[in-house]
Amino acid sequence: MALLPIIYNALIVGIFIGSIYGLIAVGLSLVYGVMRVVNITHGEFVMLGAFLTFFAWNLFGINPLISIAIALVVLFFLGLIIHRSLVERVIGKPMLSSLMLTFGVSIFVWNTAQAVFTTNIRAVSYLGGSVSFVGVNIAKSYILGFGIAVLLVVALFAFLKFSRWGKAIRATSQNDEVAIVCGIDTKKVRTLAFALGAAFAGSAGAVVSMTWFIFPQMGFNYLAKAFAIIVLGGLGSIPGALIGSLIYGAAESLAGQLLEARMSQVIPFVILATILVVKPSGLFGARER
Amino acid sequence: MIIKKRNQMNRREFFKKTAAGAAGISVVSMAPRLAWGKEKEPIKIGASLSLTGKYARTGEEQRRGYDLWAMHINNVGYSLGKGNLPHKEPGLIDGRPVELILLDDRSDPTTGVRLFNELIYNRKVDFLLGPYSSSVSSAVAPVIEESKIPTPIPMASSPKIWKGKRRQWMPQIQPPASLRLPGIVKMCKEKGDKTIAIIYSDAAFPRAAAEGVKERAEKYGLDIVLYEAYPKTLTDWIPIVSKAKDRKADVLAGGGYLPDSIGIVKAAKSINYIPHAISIVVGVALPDFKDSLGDDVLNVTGDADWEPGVEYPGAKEFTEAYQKRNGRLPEYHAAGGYGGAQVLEEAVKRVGNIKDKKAIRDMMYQLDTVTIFNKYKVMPLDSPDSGLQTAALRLLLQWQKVGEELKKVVIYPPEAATGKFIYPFKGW
Repeated sequence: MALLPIIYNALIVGIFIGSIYGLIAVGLSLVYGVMRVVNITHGEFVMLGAFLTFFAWNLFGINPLISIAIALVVLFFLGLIIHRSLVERVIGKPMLSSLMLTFGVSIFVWNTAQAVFTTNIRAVSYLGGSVSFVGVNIAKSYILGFGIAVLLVVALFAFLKFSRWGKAIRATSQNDEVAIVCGIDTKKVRTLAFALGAAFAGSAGAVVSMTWFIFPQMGFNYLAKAFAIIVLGGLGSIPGALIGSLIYGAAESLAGQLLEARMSQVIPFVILATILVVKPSGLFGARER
Repeated sequence: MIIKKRNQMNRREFFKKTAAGAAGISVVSMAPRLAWGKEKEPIKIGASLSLTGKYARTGEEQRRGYDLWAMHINNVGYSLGKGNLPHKEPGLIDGRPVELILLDDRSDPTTGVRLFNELIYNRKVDFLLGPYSSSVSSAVAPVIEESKIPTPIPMASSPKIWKGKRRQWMPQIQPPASLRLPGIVKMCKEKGDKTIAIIYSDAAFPRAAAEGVKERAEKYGLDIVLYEAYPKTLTDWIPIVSKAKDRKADVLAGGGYLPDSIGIVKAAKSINYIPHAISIVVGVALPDFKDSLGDDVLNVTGDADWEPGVEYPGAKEFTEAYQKRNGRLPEYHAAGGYGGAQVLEEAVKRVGNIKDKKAIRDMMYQLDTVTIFNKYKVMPLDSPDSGLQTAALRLLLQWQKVGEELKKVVIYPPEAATGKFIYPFKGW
């Protein structure tokens, strides 16, 4: 087979996969941008969204598409509770405190998940087939993931750009001290941002349950990718997370197709290292205050 | 002058009498134990298992096998199908119960090494049982050899752990991985297939399995259009399965563990790749495979070391006992765990004591027996491949519609087959 069609195929598939990663990375970036917390629990939010979709489908026959919305809402409130009860306590403390806290919560969540859901590996057998899209055979679930990612990210941009709360989030992200002076309740803003991050991860989990497979420890795989993506795009930058995820997905797919499958997990990090050498703050990252 | 009062004890007398009293009380309190032989010191048997992490699902099955074996030893005195052995009193030997110490290696070979050292040197176990997976077993092998503790290794099929290594303390229980996916190449060649793609997880056992399939493909004259490893941590198989599709492979074979099996079928369906046969190791035999993929499993083939219907002595009773305890049918990892522990049991009971570890080891290497799991015989101690399994058999399964139900049907070897190979694969 000629090289060019392979590259084209891999690139298109990679962009679709990258959009699903983007859904996860945007939430992580939002949380970091607003409160300078690297949320290790973020991967567990993906896992919970995936299991929620699986059980809603398996036990109650709820269509996984509806579960995306359910996961969004449920994880939003779970994020809200976790932030209010735990994460808010370490805001302003050294980064290690929040890192240890979210790491602890993460261990608690996946151990509990393992006890409750068992170690069984599951998947939602929905939208399994493929369709021809721009000349490439693409899994239906990838197209769904892409659609959901576009929809939610556009909604998030609109929210951040035009709504009062969105502006408050941006203001807090830019300078929380000035935001306080301007009368913004930064505590509420942080809670909202954390809950939104969890909601995005939950909805990504719902998509993942249809695309790949799910098990209690799955969160770390996605956290690692999302973390690399937000470093690549620039910590705290939402457009950066989005572009970073597309680059990551495309690099992973191209490396897997053109080189060896083993290289699919190496090449994205080579790109990451190269970009960090040239621009240490990432593609869209601002210099740390 | 100190005048000693009558009936007054001096310090020496006090200590003498107190000590005598204490000794008396302790003898009296021990009497029931001595008299009835209860609460004898347990025989400690340790293992690390993958109870979390990537292999948690199958590691947990193996743990259940170990647990059930220990329960039978402690309650009955012998395991299922082993009633013909000497020393039938409850406990492994001399009425001493088994105490299992099972630690979680998180599916990580490095953690496995640490935990085996912990079991041997800190917990001072009497015997060891093998961990789950070839990767962890391979990592802990030098620790076991150094400890000189006889250790059956139930769930490591990579022959590389044994070949040319002269392992003296760790016989293999599972059929070697080179025998994985038996018959698939031969049957596909007979049906007229010309090309095969072999993709495998970059870990010890899948690599050995892939090498075995490759050797047979070369032997039968199938053109290998793709032979490629993928990383263990892969979550998306579409790129590598796309390669097999692009190269128009008639047969897609390989895999790794359970997640790989699900991922490969999902990927093939996602890109509408319909080879004539799909054959994947490990996962196809497990119920999770069907639970995750539903009807998409139809006509996918894979292998198993064991199925609940096999005829080995005690296997049916094992299936019943497991089902009663866990509420579902056992999988081959549980049977492997139980069967592996049975080899230790047989060696200990035949030797007659637990002190002489060397004699127990020698016995393990000489045994020619059958457990509930499979046949057992290993390469002798003086062979370069000592400990490598030579007698165990493996089955090739295919998911087929039996009436309205999806069931696993044994299609190879012919003497064990319960159905015919449905060919070609019809797609989704």
